Amino acid sequence: MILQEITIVNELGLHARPAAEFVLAAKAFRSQIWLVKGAERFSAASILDVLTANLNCGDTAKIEAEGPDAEQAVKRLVELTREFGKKDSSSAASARLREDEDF
Amino acid sequence: MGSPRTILALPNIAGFLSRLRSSRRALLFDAPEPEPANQLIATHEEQHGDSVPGGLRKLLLPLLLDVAASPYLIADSIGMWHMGEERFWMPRFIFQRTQRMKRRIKVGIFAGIHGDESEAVLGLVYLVRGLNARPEVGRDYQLFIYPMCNPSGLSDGTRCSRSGVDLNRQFWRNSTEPEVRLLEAEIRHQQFEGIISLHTDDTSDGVYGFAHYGTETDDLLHNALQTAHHALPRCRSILIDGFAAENAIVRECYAGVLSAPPEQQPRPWEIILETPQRAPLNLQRQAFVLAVAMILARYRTQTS
Repeated sequence: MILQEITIVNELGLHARPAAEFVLAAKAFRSQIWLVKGAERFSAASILDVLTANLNCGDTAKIEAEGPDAEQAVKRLVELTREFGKKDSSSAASARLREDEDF
Repeated sequence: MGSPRTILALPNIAGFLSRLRSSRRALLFDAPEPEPANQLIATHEEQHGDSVPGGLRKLLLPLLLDVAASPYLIADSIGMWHMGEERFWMPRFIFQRTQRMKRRIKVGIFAGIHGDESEAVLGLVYLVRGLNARPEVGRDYQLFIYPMCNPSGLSDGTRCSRSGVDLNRQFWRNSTEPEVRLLEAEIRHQQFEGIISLHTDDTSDGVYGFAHYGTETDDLLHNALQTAHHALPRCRSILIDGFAAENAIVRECYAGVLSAPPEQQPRPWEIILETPQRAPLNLQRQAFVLAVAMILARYRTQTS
């Protein structure tokens, strides 16, 4: 079993958009993957479970994987959660470009 | 070791969805009904079996996936809790049409605090889809939408939560109910300028509402009921729930209903909309959406 801690860095937390990306990334692996927050375990392959985890900016959780590609899975999902922060910034930038669309 | 069963289901939702699909399009929105089949759902079923009730998958997952792809909406949770071995959570949808920095009117919209009023839940689900399809309806607003405020009651099809409590008599009374505590914390934190709660009434012959705090609230509700009349008539009773009613507007209410915290000043306007539960579902849904859209349009004008 592989286990690694993550910190949520995107401002809006793990809401539906990043959660959907997270689930799609998790399902690319054959291992069973879980998000562990405190004493609670949430399936990383279910967007409902991931949203139930209610991970806000600054929250920490652990990614736990068990299976043939557990190490790669955890590595990829840890990277992805880091990327979410950068994507938030990128979205904000594109939103600023659309400011004049307000009517 | 598996995760506990996470529940957020509606009773007999397949029937509701069937009626939704066969109903004519709403008067205001032309949002397509999403198909439930998608990669995420299939994956979940393959890996974990049917641990999440089918009704939930059909209602909530397509909505979450629509929202995940939307530039106007985000969806998350305001918290989770356990009842026995089951795990519940409360979804929240936040709408904002653009990211432009400007003053926005913060309004909270709630449904499903009574678990046997799934028509109101579906009305709010439809509103979320509608806002995604026609975001200009929510111009100048930041809308916080809570469609399922009593998930255990919705799952069981009961007015009360599974703990046997009518949650809509518990607000700001030191309740220990987890749903109430989460909602109180959220409402206190957000400091809404307006609060709308959707309900259904199985004894009513028409749409009516409760209006609190200020003549402007009367005006909002009056216009909302007038617009909802395109779908369903106003309730004609002069006595509703034991309270005097005038043109389907009631100005008193039960203590402990979902509302702003007592200390909040200035008081937000608060409107409770009730549709006749025996009316066709698609008409109730239309009445809700028309009424809410009118409230938003009218208040935008009042404050501009």
